[in-house]
Amino acid sequence: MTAWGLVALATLIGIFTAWTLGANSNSPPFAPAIGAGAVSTMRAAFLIGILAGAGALLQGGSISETVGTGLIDGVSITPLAATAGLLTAATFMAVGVFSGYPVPAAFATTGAMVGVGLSLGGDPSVGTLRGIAIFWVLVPPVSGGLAYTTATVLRRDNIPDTVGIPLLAAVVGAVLANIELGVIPGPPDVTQYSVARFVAWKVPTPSLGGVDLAVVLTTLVFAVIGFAFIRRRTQVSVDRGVSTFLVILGSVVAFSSGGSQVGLATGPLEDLYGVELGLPGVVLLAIGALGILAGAWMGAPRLLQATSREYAQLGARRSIAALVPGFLIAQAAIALGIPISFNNIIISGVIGGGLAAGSAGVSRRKIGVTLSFWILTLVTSVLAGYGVYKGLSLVLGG
Amino acid sequence: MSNTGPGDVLVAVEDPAQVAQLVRTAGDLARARDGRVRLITVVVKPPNSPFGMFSDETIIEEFAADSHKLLESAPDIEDVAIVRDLVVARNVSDGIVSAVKNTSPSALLIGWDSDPSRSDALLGTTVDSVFARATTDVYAERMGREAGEVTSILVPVAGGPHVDATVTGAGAIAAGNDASVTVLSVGAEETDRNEARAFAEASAATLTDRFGTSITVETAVRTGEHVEDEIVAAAEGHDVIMLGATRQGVLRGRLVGSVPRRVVRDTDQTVIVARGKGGTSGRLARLVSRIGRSGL
Repeated sequence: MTAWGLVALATLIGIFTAWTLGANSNSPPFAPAIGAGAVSTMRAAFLIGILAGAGALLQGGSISETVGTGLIDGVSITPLAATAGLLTAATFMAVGVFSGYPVPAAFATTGAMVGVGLSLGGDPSVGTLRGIAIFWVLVPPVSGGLAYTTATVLRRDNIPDTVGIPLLAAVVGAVLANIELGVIPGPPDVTQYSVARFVAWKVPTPSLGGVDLAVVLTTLVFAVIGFAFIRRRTQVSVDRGVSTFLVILGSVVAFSSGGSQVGLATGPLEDLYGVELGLPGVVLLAIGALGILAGAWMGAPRLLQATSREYAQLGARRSIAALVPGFLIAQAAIALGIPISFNNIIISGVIGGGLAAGSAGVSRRKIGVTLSFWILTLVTSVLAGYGVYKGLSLVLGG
Repeated sequence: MSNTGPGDVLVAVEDPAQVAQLVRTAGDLARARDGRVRLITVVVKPPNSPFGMFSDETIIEEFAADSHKLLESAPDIEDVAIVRDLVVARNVSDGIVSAVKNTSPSALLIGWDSDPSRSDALLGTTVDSVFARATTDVYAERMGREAGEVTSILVPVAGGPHVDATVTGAGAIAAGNDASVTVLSVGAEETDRNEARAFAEASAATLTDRFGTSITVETAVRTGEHVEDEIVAAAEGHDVIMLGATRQGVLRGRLVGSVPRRVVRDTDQTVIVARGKGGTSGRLARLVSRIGRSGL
């Protein structure tokens, strides 16, 4: 097979992977808003495609880079290796989708790329892998804890809904001021910049303890806007305020999920596009973003129909409690360039929200089964990535 | 799910619009078997849903309000006891099959919605999967498009493994509704007529044997090249058509054969497809048929 043939094949598998992610991982954020009757399924699917695609394009770079170049030292991912890694990861995801068992996409892709890298003769990048492992282990307690806190605030009788929900909106606004996006201009040496840092760059201000005053002020302005907007809505009617907040939260989580998931599809192609073809990173992200957009538009309505009923049973407050950590952890992962699985965060959040209501009501057996699948996915994807590359290179002489 | 009686009939409901009719049919089946009706609905929670970690008990208590409502909406049945139960599973067919395993009912009744645009109803794949795995007599009822009284039941027979379940099921419904049963046999050519007549008469004899003179039994024989056409033509004038699943085999994929599919498609009456107890297929056969269906 010629090199061009391999590039085309790897790109196709990458698009398929992005499509699968768009159809499955990016949809849940809007389910609570649909469950609360704030938005229709078809409109939500349309929004998810646009938002997740935009998130992929504007925020996808960091995780894509980690997956493509950060996991293994000493070798670069050849076209054949990229094909092998993507093929392995896509197969795992397909198994998860068809069987309904929890097969985290981030685990599958990370495992597959480590396996492929080892098979190429590279050394595991211990520091990066340790960081990823710590993050993954922290996700359930942190997500559960954030959801617990959120749910507790929302449940307290001495904090009225006209204060509690606007406060959460303020937190979301503050974080939005600080997320880094590919479109915000900054000094020539940075590729991504946040609104707050952009303001600080344009308007020089004294710094307080290492933080620019302008960053603090911009963050505060965003928080106040978020607070004021949702407060006005909740004052008209609490239900309307909750609905509006669920749509906003769904939007920012869908955007973040695009940014955090696209790298799982484009990461393996980083060397191929960036080094061998010499294309700017945004080209690869655009391909992934289109895959996610198409996947969301085609796959989301079906998934949303099923999951929105579940979130409707969960109730708006508990849904908010599960989505807030989804947003915060996804943005932290993007900032650190760590591949994550969205479902893990949401499931932990739902349990945390349940604990705040008095009982978790979880099943040890089901937790055991899920954890086993997570570990099984990690271990077998490394082995499969290693084996698939060895096999392909034997057959194709790569 | 303890204290199961030997004649109990399990009925699985998912669609509120189907509950009343399914419970009525289940009542007829249970009355003839001297058992109770065990009404279940499956609460579907795949492991990767946000509820993936909750225990079945929590899900039933806190997150299954619709299912509770569905069970409560079922009407009581005259002189048949009814037990209501919720089952948590990752899909409808898994839930039904495990309920059969846990309660060993003498028969299972499920709804069969032939409208593929309804994703939450029991679809063909669920029927196939339950037919392949449930270790009891299984009846799948396609709701009639015009509900009404049952006065006449058509039972096309052609021998095979499901004939006993088909005939006794039809007899039970006839007995419960004071309806008559017409046993129909179709011969492909004139020469088959005698064989066809023998099939029809054997089944009619079975019915009279089981149900005595409480039901009226007639036999009919038709000749025609296409069995499906003849059954569809004969269906006119009957309220319910009860027929065997007819097909088994590794490579044919679907367990429900072409005759019932055609009858379901081309008639407006209530159609009940029966699959006898011994009709489950092995794991390998199921895997092959699943792969065949998925088009891989």
